[in-house]
Order: sequence, then C-alpha cells, then structure tokens
Amino acid sequence: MRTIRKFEFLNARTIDEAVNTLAAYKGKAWPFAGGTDILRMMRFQPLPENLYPEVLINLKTISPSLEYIKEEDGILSIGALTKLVDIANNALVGERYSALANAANKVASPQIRNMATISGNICQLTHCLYFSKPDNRFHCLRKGGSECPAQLGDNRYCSIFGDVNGCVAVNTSDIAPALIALNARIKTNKRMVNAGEFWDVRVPGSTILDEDEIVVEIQVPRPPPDAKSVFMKFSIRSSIDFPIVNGAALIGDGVARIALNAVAPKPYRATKAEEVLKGKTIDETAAEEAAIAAVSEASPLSFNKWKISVAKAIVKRMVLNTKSR
Amino acid sequence: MNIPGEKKTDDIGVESKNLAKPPQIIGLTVNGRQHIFKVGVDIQPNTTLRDLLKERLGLYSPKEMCQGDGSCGSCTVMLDGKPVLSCLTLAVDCDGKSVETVEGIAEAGHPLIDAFRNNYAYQCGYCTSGFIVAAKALLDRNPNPTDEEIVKALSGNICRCGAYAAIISAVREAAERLKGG
Amino acid sequence: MEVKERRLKKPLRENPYLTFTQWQFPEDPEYRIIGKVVPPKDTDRITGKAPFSRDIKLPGMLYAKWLTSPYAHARVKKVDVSDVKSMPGVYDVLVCGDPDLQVEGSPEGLGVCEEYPWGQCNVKRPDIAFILPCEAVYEGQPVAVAVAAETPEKVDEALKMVKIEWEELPFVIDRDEALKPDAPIAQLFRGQDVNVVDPVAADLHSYVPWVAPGSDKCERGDVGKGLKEADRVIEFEIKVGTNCWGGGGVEPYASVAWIHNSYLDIWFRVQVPWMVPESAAGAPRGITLPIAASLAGVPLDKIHVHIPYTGAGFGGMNWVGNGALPTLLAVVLSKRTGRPVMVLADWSSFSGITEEEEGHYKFKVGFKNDGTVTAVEIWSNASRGHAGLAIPGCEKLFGITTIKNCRCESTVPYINKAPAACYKHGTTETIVLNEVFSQVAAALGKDPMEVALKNDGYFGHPMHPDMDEVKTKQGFPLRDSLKEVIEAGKKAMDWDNKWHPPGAKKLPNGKYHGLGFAWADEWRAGPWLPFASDNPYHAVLYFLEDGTATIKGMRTLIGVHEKTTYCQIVAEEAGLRYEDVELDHEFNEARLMFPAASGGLTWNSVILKELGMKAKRKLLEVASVHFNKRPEELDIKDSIIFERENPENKVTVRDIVSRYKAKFAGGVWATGETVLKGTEMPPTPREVHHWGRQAAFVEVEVDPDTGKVDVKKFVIVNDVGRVINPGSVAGQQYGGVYMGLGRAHTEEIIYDPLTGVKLNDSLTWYHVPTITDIPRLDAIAVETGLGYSAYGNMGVGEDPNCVARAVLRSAVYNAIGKWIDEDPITPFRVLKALGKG
Ligand SMILES: Cc1cc2nc3c(=O)[nH]c(=O)nc-3n(C[C@H](O)[C@H](O)[C@H](O)COP(=O)(O)OP(=O)(O)OC[C@H]3O[C@@H](n4cnc5c(N)ncnc54)[C@H](O)[C@@H]3O)c2cc1C
Ligand code: FES
Ligand code: FES
Repeated sequence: MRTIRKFEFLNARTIDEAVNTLAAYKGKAWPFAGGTDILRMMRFQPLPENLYPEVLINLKTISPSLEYIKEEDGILSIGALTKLVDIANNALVGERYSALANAANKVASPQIRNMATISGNICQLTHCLYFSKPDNRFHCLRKGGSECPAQLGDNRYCSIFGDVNGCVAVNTSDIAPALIALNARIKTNKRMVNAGEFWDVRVPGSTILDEDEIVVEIQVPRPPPDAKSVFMKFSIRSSIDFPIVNGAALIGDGVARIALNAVAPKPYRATKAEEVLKGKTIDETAAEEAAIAAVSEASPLSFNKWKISVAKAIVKRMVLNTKSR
Repeated sequence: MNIPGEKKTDDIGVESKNLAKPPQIIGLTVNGRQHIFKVGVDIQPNTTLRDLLKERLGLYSPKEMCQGDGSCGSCTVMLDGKPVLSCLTLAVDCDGKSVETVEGIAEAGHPLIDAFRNNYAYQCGYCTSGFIVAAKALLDRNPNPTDEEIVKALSGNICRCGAYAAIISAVREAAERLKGG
Repeated sequence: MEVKERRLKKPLRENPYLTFTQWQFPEDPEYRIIGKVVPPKDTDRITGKAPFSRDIKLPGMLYAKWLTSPYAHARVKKVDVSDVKSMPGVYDVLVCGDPDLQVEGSPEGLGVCEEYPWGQCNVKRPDIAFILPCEAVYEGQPVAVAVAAETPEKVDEALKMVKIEWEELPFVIDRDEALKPDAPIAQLFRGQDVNVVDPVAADLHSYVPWVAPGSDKCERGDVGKGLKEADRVIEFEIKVGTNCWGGGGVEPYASVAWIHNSYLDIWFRVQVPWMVPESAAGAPRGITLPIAASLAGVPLDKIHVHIPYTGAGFGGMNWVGNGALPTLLAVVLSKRTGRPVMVLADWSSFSGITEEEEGHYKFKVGFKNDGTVTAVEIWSNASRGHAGLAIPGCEKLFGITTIKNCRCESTVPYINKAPAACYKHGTTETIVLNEVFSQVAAALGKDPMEVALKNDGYFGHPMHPDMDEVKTKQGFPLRDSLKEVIEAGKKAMDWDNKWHPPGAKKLPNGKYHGLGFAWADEWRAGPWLPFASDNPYHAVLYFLEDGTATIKGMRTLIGVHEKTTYCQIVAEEAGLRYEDVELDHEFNEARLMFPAASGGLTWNSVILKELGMKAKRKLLEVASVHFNKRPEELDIKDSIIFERENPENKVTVRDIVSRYKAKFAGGVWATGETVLKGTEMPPTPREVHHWGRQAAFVEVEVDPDTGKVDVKKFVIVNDVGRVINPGSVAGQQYGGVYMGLGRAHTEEIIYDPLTGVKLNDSLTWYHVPTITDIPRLDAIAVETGLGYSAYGNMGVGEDPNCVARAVLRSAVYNAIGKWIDEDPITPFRVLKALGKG
C-alpha cells in the first residue's frame, strides 16, 4: 500500500480558528472532514506537486459541533460535519426530504457513510478516470494542464452536456442533485449560496468556495406538503460504486425541480424537463416528454452516447415515481 | 516534522491563539486495552489507523485488498462501535476512541467466529476479518437482522472468492445463537 | 459400480437479493468422514491470526518496491539515482542492466519465448535475461529501478526522487492492429521485426501432440469436406476475455528473501512453490526456486521455503511476473544488503493481466438441420496465456465433442498490454465451445440443450457406444454426465416453462426476459495425473506421541479448504478421527501432491488415499505385535485399534504409537500410484477421458433503456464425481459463478486509446461484484463417479466460473435478439447493440 503523503494535521476548536488557519496558509491548507476523499487523494497523488495541501485542518474538533440535524420554522438544518449515515437514517429527513435521505443512503458503502460527511461529499474532487490516475499521470485542465485527455480518450463515463472550460469530467456527488432538487442553500462562514450555484469547475476543486471558506450548514426548505421528492442512481454495482448517472426530483403542488449529476462537469438542472411538467398531471406521456426534454441539449462524446439513454430513463422513472404515493 | 514550504505561525502574522493546533498525544483503546501514542514520535500525522494497528500493535487482521482505495472493506475495524475503513482513518484523528478488531471479537468468543466456521463462510480468508467486523457491528446494533439488513451491512466488503451466500448464513446463525437459539 | 446421485440443494427461503442454499447431505454409509461437513481446519483465517505474506516481520528487515512504467511502451535512456542513494534510510538502489539482475543459463522460464515480458532478453541472446528490464512494454510494468529502505514510506519517497529520461515508443494494444503490416513493434527487446509470436519457439507440440511441430494450427478431419456435408454454414466473430483483471485483486503480492549462512529463506505468495520436473510437461512450472537459487548463489536444496497464508490466487500466480518477480527481486536485494528484504508490489503491475486466450475469434460452422455440427473452423489472434495452452480456444472443442472436422488456427501477436494468465482456467475455451452450439441452436431455432447433447463426445467420438466401451473396460459406471446435469438444471430452472424465442418476451416492468444455457467438461489435472513413472509428488504422514498424525508436504494453501479435505481423506482411510489429523504444508522435504488448484484434489486425493491406507497398514502391523494377531485380524476406527472378531479387545492409536515409537520413525510415504479409480490404467495420459460435465442455466432481465443486465436466477450443476467436502464444493460453485458473472458483465479494465494507460485499475472502478450484486443461485452437485481419481471425483475449482462466464452471452441474446460481439456485456455494449450507444 502506498503511504499517504506527508502533511501537518491541525485541530480547529472554532470556526474562526479553522478559517484563520486556512487564510494563513493561503491555499496550502485544506479543510479536513471525514477524510475519505482527501486521504485517498493524498495516497494515490493524482495532482501535480504544487497543488497538494501541506496542512489539513480538522473540522471535527470544532465546538459547538457541526454535527446535527434539526428542523425549525420549516427549514431543515444539517451541520456540515453530519455523517451521511445519520442523514440516511434520520426519520425526519426520510419522511419529508426523502430524496436527500435516499441519496445519502446510496453513497459508496456503509463504512464510508459512517465516515463521510455531507460537506465532504459536496466538496469532493472529481473522480474522472483521467484526473484520478495516480502520480499525475494525466496533467489535465483541472490540474493546470493545457488539455483534457478524456475529450479524445475513453470518455464512456464523461459529460454528455459538453465541457466547462474544456473539461468533460463529471461531478460524482450523490448528495448534490438532491440538494438542488430540494432547493437547498449552503451556508458558509462568509455567505449563503443556493445549491444550484455552489458547484464550479476549478483547479483542482469543484466548488465556488474560497480558500479560506468552509461550509458550515446545509439548509433545506420543507417541500410543499403535496410534493414528493425522489432520488435515483444508476451505477454498475449496487454498492460501493460512484454514480454513472444519478438524479433527484421534487414534483407536485405546483413545483417541478429536476437535477441530474455525473452527466456534466457541474450538477445539471434539467430546466427543460421542469418546464414540460409545469401544469401537467404526471402520467406516462408527461414523464416521457420530460425525459426527452431533459436530454434535449445533450451532445455525446465519442464513447458516451449510451449515457444519454440512461439519463433519459432516470428522468422518466423519477417523474413517474413522484406520482405513486 | 519538516514540510517543504511550511510556514511557521510567527511568519504569518496572525495571532497564533486564533489558529488550529496540532494534537500532541493520542490515547485510544484497542480491543479493551489502552494505548497512548505521541504524535511526531510514535505516530505521524499521515499514519493511518491501519498502520498503527499493524505496525505498532502487531495485529494482522486489517488487510489491504484495494491498497487503501476505500473500495474493498478488508481493512474494516470498529471505531466507537461503527465499522470504518482503517486505511482511510488517521491515527491522529482517533483520540479518545475505542477500536475493535477481529482479534478482539475472537478473544471475546463471539458466536460469529464459530458461525463463520460452521458455514464455510470463507475460502482464502483475506476478506474475512472485514466481513466479521462489519457483521459484528450490525449484530451489536440490530440483534435480529433481516436478510436485507445483513446484505446491506456487508455491502461495503468485497469477497473475490465469492463466499457471500455462506457469509449470510453465518451471520444469521450467529444472530440466532446470540438470541440463545 | 453405481454411485447414487445426491442433490446438494435445499433452498431456505428467498429474498430480493439471493436465495442461498443450506447444505444438507444425506449421509453416505460407505464413509465416516468423506462427504461430510466437518469443521474446517484452518480457522486462523477467521480469527485474524493468519499471517499472510505482508504480515511477515524479521529483525532488520528492509522493504523494497520497484518503479512502474507510466508508458505503454518506452525505453529507459538515462537513470539518475544520485539523490536517492544518499537519502536517509535507503539501503540499496538497483538499476536495470545491473549484472546482479542478470539470469544466465535458464532464462526460458523468464518468458523469452512466451508472451511474458517480465524477464527480458533478446532472441539472439536467449541465454541471458534481466528481471528488471530497461524497456517497458506495458503501462504498470516493473521497470528501471528498485529501492530497498528501512520503511515502505522511505521507499515511496526514494522512488519519487528517481530521475529517468524516457524514450517514449509507439505502442499497440489492440490485437487486430498489432497484426497489421505497418503496426509498430510492440516489444523491441525480442529483436523481431514483426509482432507475431513464433510458434516454433512456443513449442506447442510438446504439450499437445496433435499440433504439428512448429505450427500454430491444430486440425482434425477435413474441414472442407465437413462444410460441404453441412445443410447450413454460418459465420460470426467475437472478441472475448478482453480486459478483465485476471486476479481481480485480493492479496497484493509480497515476498521476503533472506540469505544467511549460505542458506536462502523465502516467504512468498506463489502457487507452485517448487520446481516441477520436465516429465510433468505442461504442468505449471515452479520456476521461482531454480532462478532464485542461481541469483542467490546457493544450491537448490539450501532454499527453505515458507508459505504464509495466501489470499485467493485462482491460478496465474506461477509465472515469472506474477509470482516470481517479487521473490527474485527480494533475493537479489537480500544478497546485496545482507538483510532480509520484503518486496511489496502494488496492483498497478498486475491489474492488466487478463484471462488467458483473450482475443478476437472468427468462426465458420457447418451443421445439419438436426443440429449435428459437421465442421468448425476458427481463426483467432488470441493470447496463448502461456505456451502450455496450445492453440487458443480449441481445447474443449476438440476434446469433448463429436465434431469430426475442425481446424483452429491462431496468429498470436505481441502487444503492449500485460500478459494473459489463467485465473480459474478455461473460460475462453468454454466461451468458444458454447458460442458454436449457441449460434447453431439459434440458427436452427432449436433448444440449445438438444444441440449440446447431439454433439457431446470425446475427441470426435460419440459418447455412446464408443465411450461406454471404454468406461466398462476401465471400471467406470455407465452414466451420461451431460444428460444428468441438464436434467437437474432444467428442472431447477423450470426451463421448459420459461423458454421462448429470442427477443420475444418483454415483461410488464419494461425489461426483456432471457434464458441461457452453457456447458463444459470438468477441469482437472488431465495429462499430469501420476502416470509418469517418475511421478514427482508425494506426501508423508508422521504419527505423534499424543496419538495424532500430521500430513507433511509442501503446498500453497490458496483457500480451497485443502487442509480440511486432505485431513478428511487420510483420517477416513487410516481409521483415525478427523480431529486427530493435521496438515503441515511447509514441509520442505516432501513436495506435497499436485500444487495447482486445477484438479488439486483430483490428484491429491489419490496420493492421500494411498497415504491413509499405508498409514493404516503400518498401524496394524505394529499393533499386530501388541495384540499378537495377524494385521488382517485387526481394524481401526475413530483412532481405536481393535480385534475384528472381538471389538472389545482394543487399544488406542495413541497407546500404540507412544509405546512403539521407534517403529514409526521416518513416517509413512505415499506417491499415489496404486489407488486410481477404474480398473485399468489408460495407456497414455492423453487417454484420460473427460466424462464429467457441468452446466449453467441463467435467467436475466435486460433493461432496454439503461442496458443493465439483471441476473435473476442462476442454476449451476456440477458433476463432481464424488463430493469429498460439501462445504468446499459449495464454496467453489458459488465463488466460481460470482466470478464468472462479474467477468461476464461488470468487470473491465479500460485502456486509454491514446496512451495505452490503464484508467481504472482500482477496486472502485473495476467492478468486482459485491454481496448486493449476486443473483439467486441454486447450486447442484451431481456425483457420477466418472473421474479418474481416488473416489471417481473430479475438480470443481474452475468450471463454475467458466460456464457462468459463457452463459450470459446466450441469455442476453435470448432477451434482446441480438448477439453482443464483444465482452464484457456492460450496459455500454448492450445499449450499443440496441442502437442506443
Ligand atoms: C470507494 C469510494 C466510493 C465512493 N462512492 C461514492 C458515491 O457513490 N457517491 C458519492 O457521492 N460519493 C462517493 N464517494 C465519495 C465520498 O462520498 C466522499 O469521499 C465523501 O463524501 C467525502 O466526505 P468526507 O467527509 O470524507 O470528506 P473529506 O475527504 O474530509 O473532504 C473532501 C473534500 O471536501 C473538503 N471539505 C470537507 N469539508 C468541508 C467543509 N466543511 N467546507 C469546505 N470544504 C470541505 C475537503 O477539503 C476535501 O477537499 C466514494 C468514495 C470512495 C472512497
Ligand atoms: S484497504 Fe480496501 S478499503 Fe481499506
Ligand atoms: S474468502 Fe477469499 S476473498 Fe473472501
């Protein structure tokens, strides 16, 4: 087994401490939550030397703890360091925000859900096969390189909705589409961001966060009583696997929000499909129309046309699932 | 430890009392025994829990099928009662916690051990400790699991020999035995 | 002799994921221990106490790793290790080309003539090879530099400081491309100007007599004539076996070597821990030790072999790269540093090792309207895996059918991928065999089982009456294995009620329903049974004073419950209690039995049965003095020796052994030549027939929108001849099916077309099935007693994987009405076949 590369480990006792230390190290310190994504990266070392953190700042030692789930005034608040297992098993979340509970339940494996946090999940690096190949084998755009090897390579798992700044790597978070469909907000130490605007394509990150910014809370407004939310995931195996296509939808009570992930460099809001559903009763035809609309802007790469069919099927099935109560 | 490019707090010009601090001493309980490790001496920040158990404490059971990729479960141990991957857990992050491995489970005479044997629930045995730990965590939390619950609890562990079906039987048998059956 | 059939199946109850079988066995009065579920022996594997290679620790031990090639094809132009040598904690730095890495004299084992590029030498100087080469011919190959240091971490840091100037070379990873005239030369070190493996050097003839010397072709009858006799002729192509990760990654390789006092001690993960003599041609060669001896400069018998617990190997561990390279490197480094050295290998060097015989196959098949196949012609560019396996894909087609006219031809290219090796051997042959019959059945609209039965035979002969005659002569029961396994499986699958024409059944859930059937013969040691007069295998039994007995002999415990079954047989035959027999598998003085898993128990049961019988004889002889009776008047049961006439007159084995200690010195030895099943020895090893049959039946649902193939139900039926240990048979059946299914539709190494680099050699993205991905499986064992072995038993280690691997193809065809011409059958390929990908 390769050894994890060296770093300094610091325990933060307050949010201020964490943020100050991040600021002090000017990008050379990264927040550390469950560690499942960051340590794997530090072991296999896909990045060029200049991009690794030298310091990891442990957020789990912050007090008061950022690990909580509560609902107040129609808003579900989840502390940034809440473990995925606790979200998946929380009765309240399961009942009223089921897309989120189901998404959390579908991430990776039981062990990883016991370790991984919601903030770590939404801030995970891309897992594009080219990006993640150890030892910076492919010095791609997301590492400050000059080209995207996936564009001309085996891109069977890559974006079907084009590139962002030339990169066709997808965002693989299972939580992300659920947060977008549920119209969640992400609270950082600096600002409040709508889930739809939280993700980005950076070097090497995948969020809009500044280097001295941390997620402190996720807030989800309670969906209208007659709306139903669902999450669906397509992967080769039914456990451990990253999504190949996933999606979440919140439909009913005059609302239709549909998000897909792992289909584009950022989570993809299927606005065309949402429009199709406006004012329609959900039935087979409506679902099919929405599904067609959802992928109407897709443009496949050389190896991934098949993902369009999968994405379409996911949208259709999600829409139909929101019907059956 | 000397990290290239490391900035000392003095150079940064921020008041150091407002900064995060490195842990000094890590105390943890492993299979009921207490241990204390000095950071920078006995363990380093990049020492994983798995390294600590293997190199420091001489335990064989946490394996490395996927070599620390998080995708095999063969390194699973219980941390405060929950199964976690010891290859992706930092020793410095385990202060005050308690760890249980198969060695401890066997020492305590847990019925899972006999049940795995009775059911031929292993072949090469490389994955087995991970499965037993995951199963033990399940039974601690839910002494009466359904098949679906067993399958779900073991879904983070890979067995290339394919002992899966027998493992399910073993976990059931252990559950029955725990109920006094 | 009539052996009753026992169905080893009793489904408990179903759940959405699987039904599993609780094994319940009718007791066979003939045996006390054989065929029974006994508590398995090596329980250290459960309690965490079993040391695997990586758990070995010696005082002063150093760690070492090699560099892996980042390129599919490149040559090292310059290596600069000056920064590395002076790093604290670094003890040794080995650079390719160093004379210490040079092997002289017997480099054949290093794979010069075969497809193995691990040890490299030029065809012009085949007498010298280097085990850490300067030319990398695939990405991940160990190359250029190895470092030994105090800790693994220091090794990692040191390897990072190595500066290499590479000469990147053109590469080719596609077998078809490699054979084109303008293809780049894939492996320059061989000194050839084409990519074709030289059949003369591969010497197929020595292994399979019906291949002409120096040829890459095997032929029976007249294919032209056969095609003319046919009512119909079809042609089709498939690409099979490609890009699976043979080993699938269980226990990463590690080896320790320690040269001290003119001895060499080795701890390693290897399958054949010793040299198999020439007489056992074709048997997996244990090449590690002779090369290790020559590198260490110690005589062969001064090597002490230690075999730690071994994580699933499935074969393929024998060849230089897989099994030997870490060990050989450890030997060199130990010699240079004077310390014990552990070499640690990462998956990147092994993950590209595919199944043997992977490649592109083109078929031309002639058949009659009744399903009789009259001619088969196959061309392939498949890998040979290793020279022993002759013409890719043809062995089963030739060996177990009545087909009179067949020709298999191959042109094997060198490419820039890791070599192929066997992992649960026989999958590709099985696919080839079944492809022929499935396509014929489909073309005729016939039930595939009818076609299989019509063509089932042996080397062009029909099963009846030709084989009946042989069976009678050799003392085997007149049973028809294929018929029996088909009957059992059909019933368990409810085949007749579920069968439908291809593409004809869409379910209410929108998915296509499909059924598939595949078959094969049993796999076992075949020609390597102990017929040879210089049979190299044997075992020893020592009686201990406490009345227990230890079987001694060397054998890698690869995880097929060999300790358990071996002790069962000896205890059974010697009259001892099962608890009283143990196995010491690290005994250097006896090369215990047949080393490989393929047919391991088939062969070893022969040796062990004889060992047990001889042990009993010995005990009775010694006891006869004690009883003052003739040995024939005594018997042993449950470790108690008694007078037959008067069982109350008894004494324990323990008493006899402790009282007459000197008589048991030196133990009892057995080679197993005397107890073969059947009355008459076949004249040549080639006439050891394969009469046992295996069949797989599968029911799938194919999602036409996502391309996902859900395996709903799987029935595996194995004729194992006789069950020695039900728990172990069941384990092989389940495990084989899961592996076969994984390889058939989820597991695939993806190569970057532009660089030849493996993109997903991690267990995250290489999809080995998890417990949630396994189907409902009914496992049935049929016991016909048709195996050449001690109890008519046959191997079951490999067939479940082979038939499972093959069967999905026809099930998916039956579901969607289209053949998928390349595997694995991932959603990507299903959707492509449906025009959606
Ligand atoms: C085998 C395997 C399979 C996986 N499968 C899936 C899958 O199916 N679906 C899926 O969604 N994911 C999957 N993952 C990814 C996994 O979900 C993430 O590793 C995990 O959620 C990250 O959470 P963490 O708390 O461990 O984060 P960490 O590893 O601690 O952090 C991850 C990243 O987030 C940053 N970060 C963490 N917390 C904060 C914060 N509060 N503010 C700002 N930045 C922060 C870190 O700096 C780091 O860059 C898989 C991972 C593995 C190893
Ligand atoms: S070693 Fe595989 S999950 Fe830890
Ligand atoms: S028993 Fe070998 S991997 Fe599970």
